[in-house]
Amino acid sequence: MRVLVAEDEFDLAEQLKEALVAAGYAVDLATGGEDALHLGNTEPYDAVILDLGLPQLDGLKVLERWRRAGRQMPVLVLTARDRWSDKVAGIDAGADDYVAKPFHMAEVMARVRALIRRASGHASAELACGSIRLDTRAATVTVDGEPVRLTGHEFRVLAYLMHHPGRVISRTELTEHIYDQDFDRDSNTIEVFIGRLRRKLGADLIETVRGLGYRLVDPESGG
Amino acid sequence: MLKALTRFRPKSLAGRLVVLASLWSLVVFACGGVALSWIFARSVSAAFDDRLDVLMDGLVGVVDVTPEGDLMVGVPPGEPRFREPFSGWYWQVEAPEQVEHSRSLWDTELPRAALEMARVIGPLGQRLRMLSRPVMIDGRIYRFRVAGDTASLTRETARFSVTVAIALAMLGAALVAGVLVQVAFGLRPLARLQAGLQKVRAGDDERLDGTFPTELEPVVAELNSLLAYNQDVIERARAHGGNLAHALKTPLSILSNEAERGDDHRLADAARRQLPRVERLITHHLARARMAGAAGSTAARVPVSPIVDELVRTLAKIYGARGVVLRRQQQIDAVFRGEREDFLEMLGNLLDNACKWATRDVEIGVEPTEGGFVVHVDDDGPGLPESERTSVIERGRRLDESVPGSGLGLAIVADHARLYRGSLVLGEGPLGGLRATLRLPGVLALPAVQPTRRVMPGRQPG
Repeated sequence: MRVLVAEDEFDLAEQLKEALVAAGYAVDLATGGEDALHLGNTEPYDAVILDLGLPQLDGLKVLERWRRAGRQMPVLVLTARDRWSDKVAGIDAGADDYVAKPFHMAEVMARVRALIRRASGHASAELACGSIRLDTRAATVTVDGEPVRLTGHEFRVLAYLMHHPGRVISRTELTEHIYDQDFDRDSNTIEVFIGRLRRKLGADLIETVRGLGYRLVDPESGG
Repeated sequence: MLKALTRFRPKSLAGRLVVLASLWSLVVFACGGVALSWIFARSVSAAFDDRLDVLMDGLVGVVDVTPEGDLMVGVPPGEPRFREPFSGWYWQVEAPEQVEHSRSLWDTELPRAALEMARVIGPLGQRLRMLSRPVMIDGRIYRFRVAGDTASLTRETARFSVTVAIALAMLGAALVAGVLVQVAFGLRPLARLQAGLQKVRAGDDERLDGTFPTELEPVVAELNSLLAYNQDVIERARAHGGNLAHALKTPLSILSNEAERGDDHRLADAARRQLPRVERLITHHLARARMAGAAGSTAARVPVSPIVDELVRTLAKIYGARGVVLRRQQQIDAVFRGEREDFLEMLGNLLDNACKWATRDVEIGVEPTEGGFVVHVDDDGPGLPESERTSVIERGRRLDESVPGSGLGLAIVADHARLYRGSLVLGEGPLGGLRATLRLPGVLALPAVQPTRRVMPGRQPG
């Protein structure tokens, strides 16, 4: 899962990034409106945290342009403007949620989780596939109730697959959603992560579809 | 005199105008009256003198002197009163050794004045005007005198003066009455100006409208720009306060996030306790500053229905994922009398609070009351114990720290409501949870209210 944080205040952006990384997300930062607009238009984010008071281009305008360009990723507006007319304007511009500053980090994390879950059609904060449980709140994975230790990238690959069960997901798509933009990407490492996940969680969990990508197989639904 | 006049300053403009007009007409009419009387007296006395002259001619015509030198006086024509004793009309002819006089003189004589025309005292103390004329007959000088009582003259003049005074007094009174009417009519725009200002103060109008006389137009223009300037100053102060509060929020977020990351340093500990206080203070005073700014002008009229639509649409998106369903009454014909922003704030906070606590259902309804309307917001949440209902409104105390938000929402609603002379009451609702009842002054069922609309989810340019 990859999240864009558009916030011009460096300290706050870093805090958000730290909390999001700790929750198992790949995070990109944008400190200006133009920057945010460009990233949102070109990268496939699973969620965006958008400050409205961005330099260069106002957050509300960025949001409107994304929506006009057909970008549908869930957007959480995080702003000091807490009047109801601002909230109405934000939602009408296409925001999915609205949090006023000052905020509690835990609350923002919960709302981002909820937005991503909603976007992929999951009702519960806990994703399940056979005996495997992935808790999006705590960023933990268990097999038959036993916790499994995963690295950050392994967790991101598994989380992305579990958010889209049964769908064939290409290596490129996986790469785009587990790395932030500054990471030196190498799609071959995906194979390494898949291999490690199969070792830790069972060889049948992830199926390789030749030439297309990977698919998560739920043993209970029979494939 | 002038000093005394200028020191006497009536309080009202009308008073000034009336007093000045009265004084002025008093002076003019008094002078006019005196002048008229004087002219009249002069013409009357000239006529009197003419008459004396005529009588003298008649007297001279009936006087004869015998060869022995005796005076023979006939009956002078034109004045029968020469024969009545002490009638006030007399004649007398003096020869060196003989005096003849009218019967009216009886046994007295006219005083011998040297002047041709003289004022003398006659018998019975009568004030007489006497014409004397020396006439030469047969080489001897005879002195002829004719006198008349001036009492009638004085009487006539006095009667004329009284008549003139009465007429002028009536004219003056009519003039003053005219001035009163004129002043009342002329100063009516001032009353209109005052009524207009009163409306502005009451918040029914934002500026002075309508046409005023040319003399007042500059004043009205100045007043309007003063009002605009005032509004501008308030708006700017409000904006500055708002900017400060907003600017503080981001650093505050950073600090409290840092403090919450759990290291047990004493500084972090203190920050964890103090930062929420700072946050609440900012929220509270920011809300109050916004209200204070809006209190100045409540001339705005806001239809309730579209605002409910906006908020329901917004909250449905925010809380929809949690399974909260918002329902609104279909027919809402109320119009809020005040700032749109304030109404949004009140209704937004009420609905937000209901959505936070609701299990599933939130309902909003609007009912007419005397002089306004009432908004009910019901939820099916846990409700609020009676003991806590007033404290949550009064102090904005946060009852449950686990539910996000400053906890000031309902207190802010109550503050706003009070500003608009309304009220917020919490109670048990028909859905089993809390019912918030917001009572507001307003207008109901205006004829030009848009038809009932269903809540349309969808984007609109903000």
